Amino acid sequence: MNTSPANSNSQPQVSPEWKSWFAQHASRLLMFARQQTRTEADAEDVLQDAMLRLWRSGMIETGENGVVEPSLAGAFTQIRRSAIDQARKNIRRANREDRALDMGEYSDIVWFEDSLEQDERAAMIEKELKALPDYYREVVTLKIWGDLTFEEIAETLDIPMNTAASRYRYALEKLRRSLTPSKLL
Amino acid sequence: MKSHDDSIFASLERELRSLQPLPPDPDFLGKLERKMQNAHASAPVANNIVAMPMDNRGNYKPWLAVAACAVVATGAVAWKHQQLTAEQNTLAGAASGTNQFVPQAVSSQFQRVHAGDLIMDPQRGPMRKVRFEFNNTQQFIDQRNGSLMEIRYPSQQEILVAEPMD
Repeated sequence: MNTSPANSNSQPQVSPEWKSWFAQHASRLLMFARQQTRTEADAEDVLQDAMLRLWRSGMIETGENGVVEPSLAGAFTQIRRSAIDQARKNIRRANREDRALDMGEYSDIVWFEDSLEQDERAAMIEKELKALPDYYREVVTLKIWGDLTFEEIAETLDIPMNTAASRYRYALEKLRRSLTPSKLL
Repeated sequence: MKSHDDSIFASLERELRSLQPLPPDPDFLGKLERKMQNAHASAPVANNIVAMPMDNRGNYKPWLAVAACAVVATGAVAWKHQQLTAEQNTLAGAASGTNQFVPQAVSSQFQRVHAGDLIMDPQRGPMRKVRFEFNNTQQFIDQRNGSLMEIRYPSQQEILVAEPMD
């Protein structure tokens, strides 16, 4: 996110570096947002809000190649906070309208490319992943698709690092059991 | 047994990684860009990525905090350097030159800022914990052979920044 002092009177411009960073990570960030929300529209709203928060918070880091870029762990943290805020707003709205908030399963949100009809196994994994408790699923998502270390996951979720690691192991064990036919266990 | 479990987990991890998250709608980046361009009210921390617009005064406190933190951190490193030099000199004198490592240079490079939890201060209102991480380097010269020894270590400092009430 770059704003040029030369055109400070006009609209600030989004820098190519930021666009490239976002293009690289958009899918995994949106996947995490999808897991924190109930509809695709909510997920996009949360991601949008989180990116604005990330920009404002200035959570940046120096990558291994020495390039200063937005913090990926920080982006996941902001997505989580935005999702919590959105859920609170939804609850308030639901109360105002005197109707129950739909807290059902992830309905028709698709998380992976070429899943469901095209690949039975992928569909099964997605189904089992959705069936995991939230606190397991978010650790798996941040580790597998977010490429975060357990230390970063612990910071993002505000839990001890050992808890992050053990949740990850329990989640994989649970997935393994549910994805393996019982006679092979 | 454990290695058997590990290999099963490794295979499951590979399988999970092979699933590609569905990318956002192609229009999404455009929408996000427009939102960001409209978000004049605030800007990120000053660094290589960002130049703060002159009319952006709404969220100035974190910037002040960053500056204050940088000053404090630099001061702390300089103070440690002086203290270390004095100690080394004293030791060197006491031991009649037996201490061969002489401090040469100290540097502290800002690495990362992390916005933490919100806490409520009864006097000051909502405050955000902000943690700054630094990479520090200390260089020593070995007086015996003139070789340079470098010690690198991370450090961090946490401060509270008033959360804008928007």
